[in-house]
Amino acid sequence: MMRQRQVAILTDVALITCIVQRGLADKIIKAATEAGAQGATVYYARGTGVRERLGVLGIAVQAEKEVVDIVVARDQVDRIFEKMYLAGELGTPGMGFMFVSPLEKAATYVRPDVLKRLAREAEQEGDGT
Amino acid sequence: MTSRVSTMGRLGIPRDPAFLITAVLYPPAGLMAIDAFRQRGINAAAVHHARGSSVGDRIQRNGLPIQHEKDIVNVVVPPAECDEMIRLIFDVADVDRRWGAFVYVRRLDRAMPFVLPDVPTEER
Repeated sequence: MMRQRQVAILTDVALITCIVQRGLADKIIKAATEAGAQGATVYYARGTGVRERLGVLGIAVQAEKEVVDIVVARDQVDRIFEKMYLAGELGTPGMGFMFVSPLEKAATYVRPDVLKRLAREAEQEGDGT
Repeated sequence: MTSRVSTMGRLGIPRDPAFLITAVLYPPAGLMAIDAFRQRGINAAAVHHARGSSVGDRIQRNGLPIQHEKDIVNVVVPPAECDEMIRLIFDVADVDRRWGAFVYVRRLDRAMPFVLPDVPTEER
């Protein structure tokens, strides 16, 4: 007997990608978590860019990078983006780069009690309008 | 992409929009997803490793959530097949449970399909 699956699709989500030097991702993740992010993914990469433009100071910038991906709700993007920016000191040349990509949709496990609460709130909003 | 692009520019560069599906899975679901895509006829999917935390993971004393090994699967599909591919990933990785996976979709302006050349089979 095949199990029927219920797929919870999340809309109004965005992906924040932050590229920093290796070893600095944890600081970014901690700031994002404190600001309300629910999860993060980190992987390694190698990159160049401003390092070549800093001249002698460029030797202080590692070519080895960590890329942090965090999916957040659209209404939280600005707050979490700002916290990550400040934690990573991205305003300093060579410290990193970050950007936001809009997502079509996302899907993940949502606890049944949370799903019921959201459905109830949506019904109440529908009755209210 | 599973079907050849129908509209090509002057230089033969495809112009069809596409969706990039990224699935953050727990190992070994990444390779299982790649196998499932191959059986479905999709030859251009990528998997790489990462570490990360997800919803509900415990926060440690240092303020960081517990991190686990992850497999990141990226696959480009036509818009019409997006929902079907998401369901395929759900079936492979058992997404609708705790410790399942996280899947998200990004819109691409255009994508290049990976088309194998027509090589005649050797006759023995």
